[in-house]
Amino acid sequence: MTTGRRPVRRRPLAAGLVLLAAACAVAGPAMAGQVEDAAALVRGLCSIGGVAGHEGQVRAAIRKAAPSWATFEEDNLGNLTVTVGSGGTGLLLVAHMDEPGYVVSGITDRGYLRLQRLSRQPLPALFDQFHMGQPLVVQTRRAQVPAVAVVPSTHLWRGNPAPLNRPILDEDLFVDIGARAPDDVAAAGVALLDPVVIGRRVVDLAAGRIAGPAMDDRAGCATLLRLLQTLEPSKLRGTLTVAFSAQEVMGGRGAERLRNRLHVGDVLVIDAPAAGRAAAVPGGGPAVSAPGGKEGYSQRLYNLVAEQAAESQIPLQNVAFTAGGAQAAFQGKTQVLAMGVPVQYAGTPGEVTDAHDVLALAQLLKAIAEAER
Amino acid sequence: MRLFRSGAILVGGVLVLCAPARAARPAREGGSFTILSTLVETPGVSTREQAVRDRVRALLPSWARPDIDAKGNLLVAAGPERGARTLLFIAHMDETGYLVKTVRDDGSLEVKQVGGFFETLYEGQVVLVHTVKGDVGGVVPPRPNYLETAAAEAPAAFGGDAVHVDLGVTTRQSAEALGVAVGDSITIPKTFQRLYGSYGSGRAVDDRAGCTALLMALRGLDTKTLRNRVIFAFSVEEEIGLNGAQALAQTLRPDLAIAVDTFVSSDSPLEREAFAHAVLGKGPVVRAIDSSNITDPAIVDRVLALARQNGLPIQYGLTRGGNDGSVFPEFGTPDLALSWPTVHSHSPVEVIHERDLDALGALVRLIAERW
Repeated sequence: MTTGRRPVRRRPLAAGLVLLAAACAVAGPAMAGQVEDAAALVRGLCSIGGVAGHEGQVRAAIRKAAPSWATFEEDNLGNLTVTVGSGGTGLLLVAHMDEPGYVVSGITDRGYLRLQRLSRQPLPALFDQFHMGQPLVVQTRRAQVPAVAVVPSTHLWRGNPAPLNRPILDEDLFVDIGARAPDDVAAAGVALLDPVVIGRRVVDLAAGRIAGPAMDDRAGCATLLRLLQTLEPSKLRGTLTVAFSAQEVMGGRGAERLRNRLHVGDVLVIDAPAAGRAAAVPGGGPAVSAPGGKEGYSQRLYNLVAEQAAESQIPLQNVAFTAGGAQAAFQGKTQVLAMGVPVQYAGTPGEVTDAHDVLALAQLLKAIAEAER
Repeated sequence: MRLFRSGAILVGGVLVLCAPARAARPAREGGSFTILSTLVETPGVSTREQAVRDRVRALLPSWARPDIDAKGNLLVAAGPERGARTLLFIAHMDETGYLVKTVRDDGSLEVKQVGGFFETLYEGQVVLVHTVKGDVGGVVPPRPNYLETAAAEAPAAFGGDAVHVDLGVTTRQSAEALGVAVGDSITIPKTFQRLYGSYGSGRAVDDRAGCTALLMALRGLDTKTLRNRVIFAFSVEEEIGLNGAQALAQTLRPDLAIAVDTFVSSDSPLEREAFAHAVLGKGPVVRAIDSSNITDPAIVDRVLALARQNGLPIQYGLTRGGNDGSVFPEFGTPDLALSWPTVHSHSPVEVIHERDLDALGALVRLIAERW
């Protein structure tokens, strides 16, 4: 087993897209069916809100979509794990369930909700503005309560954007659930600290792409679910643990719990790659942390991933991943590498991902789990 | 309701999944929101009102014999042809949004804003392009520097040519193969949400609520006892210059034009209550003064008295914006604007109270039968 750095040729993105498209064309209707299955997983998971510490509904959806043989364990932070196989160097695959959002931080005398953003990770500068004037959902203990984020009326400002032309923060948001007094809020079942997320508007774009909120990292969760659905436990080499983690946006708290709870050798963190100019492109194949990445980067795992991708003719996009989160939790404790499904327009309610990438990454992870490490 | 800016006329295989959001209070059967939700969820950007017109037609009472004029306005008349008076009720079918201006070589869409609204409300949001082949999903990409702190310093600096739509394709041919063509309309995915306490929210409550009020009145009219000739017009292109109403004004000479449209209210924690303060849930509003019209105080008083005598809640006040009826006074016909109070105008989350709409429908019927 080599641990030295081995040069791996980067496949140009355009060539990768052609390869992926060609593979789909050759496979025909069967492939199209698989893409639709992957897309359905993504749609289903993105249609559910899951603010950090309040991932219960996402967890329930994952349990429901998992194959019947999967026996889940749930720890005190809400991480969901399923372990299969035995012996060998344990492999952990982890994707986070939570998304940046809000909790109810106050209730005004007129029955409006005030919000506090719940995320320790850097968010787009316009994150709070993306919520103003949009439908929201309050996830109470009993029900999903529809809500709207108050916005100035364009008529009353004569089209002057002045009220919006200043930094909009979470403290600027007022949420209307239809209550006009604190008693109404209580009667609606809404209470302090209830989580609040953007209304779930998910649309299909062309060619297997999907747009909606929280693709980061529901696309990763969908990938692991697809893996579980297609996994053949008898072919595994060693022990595989598939984990759906909680509270990633709060500094990787769920991953830290996993690190202390599980005894694994290798960790592949399945998360959305960093956004920006050199970001991975949806439809171009799975993203992998580029060689030379500083945090949570294992050259040995990178080589393994690259080899299996080449054998399976799956294009990879070498890109940067945001430091921190789950990678940081495992750094220095074990070999770790970040991979993921590319997400465009990250941090907006219209994040875009591609079901082909979900499918390809699930296929690649299956090959890795079945390979000698 | 059309947006007036500083006194100047402003001319200007998809799947939508929504979380199974549950209203905190069960829907009221037969209430005005049943009609409103159907209309709100139908797209109808100005000049592309066909689908809304079809919905309105389907919701008319069986006795109605709708007529569609050359402009696209839908009209229903009732009562004696030589009635004591002729009353014209107008509500507009169109809404603000975008039209496809160009399909670029890279498959993305250049768009044209239709009507007045804060374009930041579309930034980073999903949209639907309404094509002849059906709805096609898209995203309005955020400004290139949206991740950077500098973006927050001028958050309203988004709009005009910066707005385009990403369909997930990379060539013009691929976009066209989806059915997308120049002139197609673009809206957000449209869902009417019932909120707690008989409130509801959606895009294009302005002026589908007005259409709802007219439909409720039509359904309740006793046409055999009408003294007046009453004409109900569902107009087009209000948001881009009252164009449908202008066409009506060329041919109709009613004794009173009654526009049924939004009263944009300051009943919101983000507005100043110095004016336009009609309270949601306290009844319909006589929009006595707006940016386009000043109603004869005698007419205002008569409406208030009629409502009160018949036990209907009523408010009156002044706000901003224009109304379809305002094109009639120059031809000698007075304009009366009737409204429900709403907040968050021209946003994806215009809010309305069901009791206000119920009462507005009753008021329209009352005026048709008793004026």
